[in-house]
Amino acid sequence: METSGTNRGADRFREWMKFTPARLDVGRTGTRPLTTEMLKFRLDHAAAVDAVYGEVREETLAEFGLFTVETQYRDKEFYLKRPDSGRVLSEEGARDIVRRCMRRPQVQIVVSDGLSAKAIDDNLADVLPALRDSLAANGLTEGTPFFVKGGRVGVMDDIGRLLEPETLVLLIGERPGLATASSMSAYMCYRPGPGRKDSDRMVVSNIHAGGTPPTEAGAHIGALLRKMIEQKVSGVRLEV
Amino acid sequence: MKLHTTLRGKEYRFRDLKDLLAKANEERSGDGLAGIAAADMTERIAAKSLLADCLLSDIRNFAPLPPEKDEVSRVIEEGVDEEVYASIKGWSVAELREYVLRTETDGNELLRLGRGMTSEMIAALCKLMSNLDLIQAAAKIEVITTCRASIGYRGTLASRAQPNHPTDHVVGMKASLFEALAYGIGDAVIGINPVSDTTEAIKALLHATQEVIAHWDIPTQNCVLAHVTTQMRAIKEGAPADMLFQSLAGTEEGNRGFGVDVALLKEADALIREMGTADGPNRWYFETGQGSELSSDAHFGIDQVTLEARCYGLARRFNPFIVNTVVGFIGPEYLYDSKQVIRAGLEDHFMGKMHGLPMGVDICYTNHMKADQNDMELLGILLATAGVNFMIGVPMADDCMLNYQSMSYHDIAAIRETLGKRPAPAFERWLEKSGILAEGRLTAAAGDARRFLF
Amino acid sequence: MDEWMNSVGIDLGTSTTKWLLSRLRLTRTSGGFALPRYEITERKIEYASPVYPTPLLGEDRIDVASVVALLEAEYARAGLRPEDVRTGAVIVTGETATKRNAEELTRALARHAGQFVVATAGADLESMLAGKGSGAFRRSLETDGVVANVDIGGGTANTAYFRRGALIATVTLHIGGRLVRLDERGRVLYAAAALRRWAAESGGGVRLPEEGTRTTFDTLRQLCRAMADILLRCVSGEPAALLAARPLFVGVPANALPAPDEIWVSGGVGALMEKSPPETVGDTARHGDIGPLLAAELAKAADACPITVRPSPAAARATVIGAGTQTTEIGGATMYCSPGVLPLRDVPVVVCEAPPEAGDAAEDARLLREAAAAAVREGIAAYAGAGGDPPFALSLRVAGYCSYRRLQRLADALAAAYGSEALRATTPLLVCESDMAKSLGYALLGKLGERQRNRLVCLDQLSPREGDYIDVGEPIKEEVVPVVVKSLVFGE
Repeated sequence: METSGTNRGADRFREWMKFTPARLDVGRTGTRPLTTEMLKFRLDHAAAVDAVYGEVREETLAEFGLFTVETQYRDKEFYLKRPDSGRVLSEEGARDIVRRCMRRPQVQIVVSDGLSAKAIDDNLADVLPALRDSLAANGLTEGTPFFVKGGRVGVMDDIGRLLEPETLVLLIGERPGLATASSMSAYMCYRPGPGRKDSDRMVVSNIHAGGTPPTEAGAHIGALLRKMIEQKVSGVRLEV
Repeated sequence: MKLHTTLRGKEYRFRDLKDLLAKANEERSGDGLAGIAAADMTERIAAKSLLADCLLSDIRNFAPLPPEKDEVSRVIEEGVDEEVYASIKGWSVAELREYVLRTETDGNELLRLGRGMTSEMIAALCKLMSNLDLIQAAAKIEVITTCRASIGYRGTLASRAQPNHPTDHVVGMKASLFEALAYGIGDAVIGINPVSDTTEAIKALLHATQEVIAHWDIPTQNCVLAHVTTQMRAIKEGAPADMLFQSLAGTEEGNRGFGVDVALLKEADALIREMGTADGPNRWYFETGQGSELSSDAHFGIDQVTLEARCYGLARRFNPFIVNTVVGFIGPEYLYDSKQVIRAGLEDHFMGKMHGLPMGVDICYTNHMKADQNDMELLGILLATAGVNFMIGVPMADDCMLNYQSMSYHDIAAIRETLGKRPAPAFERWLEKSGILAEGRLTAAAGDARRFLF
Repeated sequence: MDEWMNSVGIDLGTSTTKWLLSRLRLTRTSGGFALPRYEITERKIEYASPVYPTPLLGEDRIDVASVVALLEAEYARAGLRPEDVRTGAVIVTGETATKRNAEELTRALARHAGQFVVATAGADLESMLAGKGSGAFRRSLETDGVVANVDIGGGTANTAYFRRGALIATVTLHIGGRLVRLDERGRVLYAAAALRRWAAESGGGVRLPEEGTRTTFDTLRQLCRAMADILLRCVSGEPAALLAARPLFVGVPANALPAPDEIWVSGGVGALMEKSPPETVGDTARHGDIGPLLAAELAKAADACPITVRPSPAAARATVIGAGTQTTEIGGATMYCSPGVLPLRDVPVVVCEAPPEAGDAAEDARLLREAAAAAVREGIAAYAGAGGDPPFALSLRVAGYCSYRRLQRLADALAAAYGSEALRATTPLLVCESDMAKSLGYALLGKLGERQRNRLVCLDQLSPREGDYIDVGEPIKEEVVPVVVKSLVFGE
C-alpha cells in the first residue's frame, strides 16, 4: 500500500496535534476562521466570563455545612478593580468567624469563589472529602470550615490573624481560561497572618477533572500540610 | 509650573507634577487602585489644562523620580540629546502637541524631537492627545531594525509567532509554529514563552526553533522568553539565540522585582553581541506593559502611563530589535475594560515610537476583563493604521500556556489584507517562494501546516 | 534539584558479554504548582566495558564463576560498588537464555547487579531493548515511516518494528554468526538444528555442510548469502520469505509483518558489516564461526535491498545500552507506601479493568466488586500457590474521571476482594494507570484489615500488562520509586 507524501504528512500532523492543546488545523475561509471554530472559541470565552460573574450554589455549601462570610468586595466590579478589597473580611464576617470557629486549629480549611464560582461547584465534592481522608491518614485535625464570598488569596492572612491556625488551606476558584472555567487552586500557608509573602505560601493549581485530579490533589494537600507542621515552615523553604 | 486652576467656578489644586501627570490620564482602573486617579472628569480636564501649560524644562527639572534615586532615571537623563533639548525646552506641552500634529512635521522630525525628550515629556505629550492624535502622529514614524532579518518598513506589518506550549513540549510547539508559518506569521520573531526556566528546557527550544529556521531558510529570528540569566547560561552552553529577551519596568525597584538591573543588562548585551547567532545590530526583545510597577509595589505613586514611558527610556539605551507592550494581560485592576485597553495600546505604541523604538503590541485580554475578541480586532485595525511594527499571533487567538487571548494567525492575515499591509520584505519573498502568499494575499495552499513538516 | 541514579545493564549473549554503567537523570517535570511528577530526562553512558567472549563450560553451560569474576574486575575498573547501583537489568540473550544454568547465573549476579537488578530474557524484550539502544527507536520519532531494528548476534536475529516511538511488532529468527562454527581449516564443528531444518526444507536451495566435514569458502559464502537474503526479505515483510523461513522462527512463525521504511542493523554481526569482507576460509573463521562472512553478505544484501538498510552507530552494544538505560520507569510521584515494604521483586501482574461508570451508584458498586473479585480470584489461582509476597500486583485501569464517590466504591471493592482468605496475610500491591494512587491508598486505609493496611503499596501512572513481572525499588527520594516492568512484549 503506497501512500502519497501529502497524506503521510497529514497523518503525522494529526499525530503531532495530540501533543498540544493549541487550536490547530482549524481551516479558514479567506483569512477568517470557519464558523464552527469561531463559535467554539466564543463559547469557551462565554463559559469563562460566566464563571467569573457566577455565584457558588447554595447546595454546594450546604452539603459540607459551610457557613458564608464576605470580604469587603462590595460588588463584582469593585472586586475585579480592587483586589485588596477581597483580602480583608467585612467587619461582620470577621465577627462571625471569631464567634463560630475553633481557635488555633491544626488545619483551617477555607473555601472561596475567587474568580470562578464554577470551580467550587464542580470540584469541592471531590477535593474536600479526599483532603479530609488525607488529614486523617496523616494524623491531623481540622478546625471549623467556612466559605468566603469575594475572596482573594491574601484573605488567608486576615483569617490567620483572627483564628491563628497552625496551617490554613484555601480552596479558591482560579481565573478561568478558555480550556476550562472550573479550575481550582489550593493555597497553603504555615501560620498565616499579616506580613506573609507569596513566597511563604504553597499552591497546587489547575485542579479540575481534566487537569490535576481533584481527589489526588486533596490527598496530596494533606501530606503537604503534615510536612509544614513537622518543619514549622511553608513556601519556598519547605523541603518536600 | 502652575498647579492650580479654576474651571467652571471650581478650583482644582494639584500637589506636584507627579500628581498632575496622574490625574491628567484618561481613566484606568490602575490609577484608582494606586489611589492617584482624578476624582471626576472635570478634575481630569483641569489636570490636562495645567499640564498643557507646563514647559518641557519644568518636566525635566521636577522629574517625579530624580536620577540620584533611580538608575532608570539616570539612563533616561543620559539618553537626552542636549542640543535637541535646548531647542525645545521652552515649549509648553500644548505647543509640542501642536507641532507634532502639524502636516509639515514628518516622522524623521518626530524621531529627532524624541531624542531630545525625557520619557516623562513624552508621557505628558501622550496625555494631551486623543486616540486619533495618537494614531496619526505614530503613523508618521518609521523605525527599521535588523537582527537576522529587517522589519519595520512603512506599509508592512510583521508578526511574532508565539507557539507556546503548556509543558514546553517541542513537537507540540513545532505544530503550532508550522501553523503560524502557513498563515504568513513569524517575520518579527519566533518567540516562545517557556513554562520551565531551566537551562535545559531553554536550550531545547532554542535549538528546535533554530532548526526550523535553518531547514526552511526562513528570514526571521528566534527567541525564548526566559529570564535573561537563564538565556545567558543557555547561550554560553552553545544554544543558538538570535537575540535576548527581558521584561522591563520603569523603575530600578521594579526591575529588581524582575531580577535585573542596568549592569546585568549591559553584561547580557555584551554576551549577545559576542555569541548571538544573528548578524544585525539589534539584539534585544523587550516586553513592557502598564501596571507592572504597581503590581510589584515599585511605583512611587507615579501613574502607569508615565512609568510605561520610562520603560521605553530604558529600552532605547539598548537599541532593541523589537519592543512589545503586553497591553491587556495584567488584568482588570489595571485596565478594566476594552475602552481602557484600546487607549493604553495606542498610548504605548505612540510613546514607544517617539522614543525611536520598534514598537509592537500584544493586543490581548484576560477572561476577567470586560473585553472580548471583537474589541481586540478593533484595536488591531487601529494599531495597524498607526503603523505598529508587529503584533503577536497565537493559534485561534487562544494561548494555551499563558491562558489569555491575543490576535489569531487569521486576524493578522485579515488585517494585512484589509489595510494592504505586507509582511517584512524578506519574509514576504520567502512566503511567495513557499507558495503561501501571492501579491500580498494568502494563496489556496495557505493555512495548511503540513507543508512545513520535515 | 535533579537526582542522578546509577543503572547497570548486563548483556550475556550467546557469544559475547558486555556491561554498561549509565546514569539516569531524574527530573521533576511538573511545575511548582502541579502535583509532583518525576521523569527520567537524560541517560548518560558513563562506562562501557569491552566486548568479552561469553565464558562457557562446554556447549551449553555458562561459566558462572568466570562471569562473576569478570564483572568484579569490571566494577573495580569503573570504581563502582554494588550498593551504588539503583536499577538496571541483566539480559541473558539469544540461545544463552535456554542454557541450563541461566537461573543459577541470575542468582549469582544479584549481588553485583546492586540492590535492584533483575534477570530476564525473552526474545521480544530483547528485540525491543536492542531497538531502543541502537537508535532506531529514536529515529522512529523523527520520521513518518516504520523503522525496524535487526539485532544480529551469535544465535538469533531479533527484530523490533517502531512507528513514531511505538513498538508495533517483533520477530526473532534463528540467524546468527555462531550458528555454524568452524576451525581455521574450514572443518564444520557445529551447525545449529534450526539451520539444518531450514536447509532440509529448502528443497536443495540452501546447502548446509555437514558437521565434521571440511567445507569451502564458496559453500560458506552461498550459505551466508542465503541467510542474509532470507533475513532481509523476512524483515521487509515479504510473504513468500516468511513462508520459506518457517523453520527459522523462534516461537510462533509470523504470517505477516509491517513493511518497514528503514532497517537498522545492530548486534555483533551488525558491527562487522563495515569491516572488509573475508576472502578465505581462514579469514572467515577468525572468531571460529561464520560471523564475519555473514556480516559481509548482509552488507551486500543491504546494498541490493530496495529499503534503506543501515548499520546502527551503536551496533555492538545496542542491547546492553537498551538494558542499562531503557528498562526503568518512575512511578507517579503521588503514591501511598507503607514503611518498610519496598523493595519488591519479580511480582507477576494481574490486570483489573474497572467497568465504565454505571449511572446508578449501587449498580456501579456491584460492577466494581465483581471486577475486583474476578481479577483477584484469577491472581490467587495463578500465583498464590507459589507462595510469593505479594503473590501478584493488581494493575488497575480506571477509564474516565474518577470522582471521590467512585473512588470510595472502588476502594470498597478492592478491600472486599483482598479480604479473601488466601490474601489476608499478604502485601497489597496496586498499580494504577491514572493519577490516583495516593487518594486510593488513603481510602483503602480505613477499609483493609490491619496487616494489609500496614503493608499497602499503591503506585500510579504505570500500566504493566497481564503476565508482566514488575520490580519496585526503594524510594529514591520521598515518594519517588523506580519501577522495572519486565514485559512479555507480545503475549504468548
